[in-house]
Amino acid sequence: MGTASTPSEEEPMEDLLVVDTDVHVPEHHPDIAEKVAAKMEMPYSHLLDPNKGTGGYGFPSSGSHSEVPDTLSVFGGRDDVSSDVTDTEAYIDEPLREGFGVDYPIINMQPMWDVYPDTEQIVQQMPAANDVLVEEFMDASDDYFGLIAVQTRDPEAAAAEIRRLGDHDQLVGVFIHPGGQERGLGESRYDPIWAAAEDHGLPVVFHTTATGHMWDMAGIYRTMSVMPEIHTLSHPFAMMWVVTSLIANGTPAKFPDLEFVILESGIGWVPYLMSRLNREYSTWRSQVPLLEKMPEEYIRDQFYFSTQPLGEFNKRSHMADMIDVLGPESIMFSTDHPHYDFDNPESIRGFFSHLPEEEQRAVFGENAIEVFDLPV
Amino acid sequence: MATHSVIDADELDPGDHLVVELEGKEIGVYNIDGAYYAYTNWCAHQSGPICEGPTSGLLEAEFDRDQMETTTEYVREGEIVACPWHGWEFDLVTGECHSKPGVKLISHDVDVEDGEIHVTV
Repeated sequence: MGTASTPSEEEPMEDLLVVDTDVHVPEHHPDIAEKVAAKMEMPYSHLLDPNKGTGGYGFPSSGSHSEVPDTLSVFGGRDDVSSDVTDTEAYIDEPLREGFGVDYPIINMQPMWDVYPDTEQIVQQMPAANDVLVEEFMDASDDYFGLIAVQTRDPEAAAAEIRRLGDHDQLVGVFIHPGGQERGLGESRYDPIWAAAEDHGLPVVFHTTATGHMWDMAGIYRTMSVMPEIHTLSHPFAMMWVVTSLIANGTPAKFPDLEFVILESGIGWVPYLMSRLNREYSTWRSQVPLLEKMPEEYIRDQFYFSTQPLGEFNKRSHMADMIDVLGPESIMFSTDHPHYDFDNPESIRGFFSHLPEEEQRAVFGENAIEVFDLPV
Repeated sequence: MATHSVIDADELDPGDHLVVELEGKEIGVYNIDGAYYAYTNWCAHQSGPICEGPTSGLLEAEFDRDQMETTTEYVREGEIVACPWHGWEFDLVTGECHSKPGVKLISHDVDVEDGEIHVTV
């Protein structure tokens, strides 16, 4: 059975309010990069401007978004580069809102700053990029929401950035790219970030990239040659590490009002991780004394997982089983627009059709409205 | 249900325990600070010999949100038993598992009569 929707005269997703939790306006896109660079000091204002500098971000092939088929363009960069990303009508409204029936996009710039070697660069780039997000996108429509992107190498600077922008009505979460961190994100050095997010009532959103995660698992990725290997493991591997590190260090117990959202990793790995963490916890409880309940409970209470890319079992009902195990209250819809592995809401809603209507509403919009506290 | 004398009370010092066989079942009897507790030697996780596991205390932790510091304290020495198979920890006073709610060891009533410890199985 395929996943294609039936063509219809009706507007897509007309009957459901749809919040898309993962819409990209990549900061490495030349239209955006030149605006970000213009807000930075020398030498970055020159170096990072695609019209003047090397077009790179410290690595010759990691972020150039040039016409050269470098790693990034192979991993989806073509989609980013080929469109005029700051033309929000063409880039967001027509394909996503009118085409797919998304009511409210939550936009991120998907920076992978923690893999860049120059700390001063990424600390400057962070507020510059977030200001461009506000000026080019938040100011373009009251129906757009966005995520404050932070680097993590300087946690105090990240916390300051959250405090600087945390009260903006349309900035509804904090975006972190797992990949390139010096240590697991549960380590206490990162606590200032969680504290600032919790103080502002902002969920922390994790979204990795195949290229970024390679920095953490270089030994494994060096042995991979094709995308079905790399892209199958990059996102769930990264997120298993994130969730495990946060749980093992007691982060959700330390910040009980903080919520975490995991993007672009699908959902199938989560039941496995919950059950394995439970088992490890019971065996090694004395090593994780901050935890006051089973890891599964922390995950169910404080973590949310976006749908895309929704797995495709041969037997369609197996995905319904997976959705039931994780629970619709922990799932949020996302498209990953504009990337090649996006999900069309009309097409994947069938996987949720066994749920009562109110639970379908939760998955496609209301969970996100609640967690991101969207003023809609 | 039958009551069995298992040992003279003055032969089981605080902190000690023994495992006896009563009605074909292995039963662990513990003296914790002068109070006695008895459990079937059967872990509620995967049936391991829980009463052969080490007793210890409990490491508790607290996070000070203002100072952003975690402090730990080791408490209740001798009141926790860990299964020798998979390490599941149980509270010897309540019989409850310390990690998984609702999981308990099988407990038995213990009395001291005429200087002897009696266990009802």
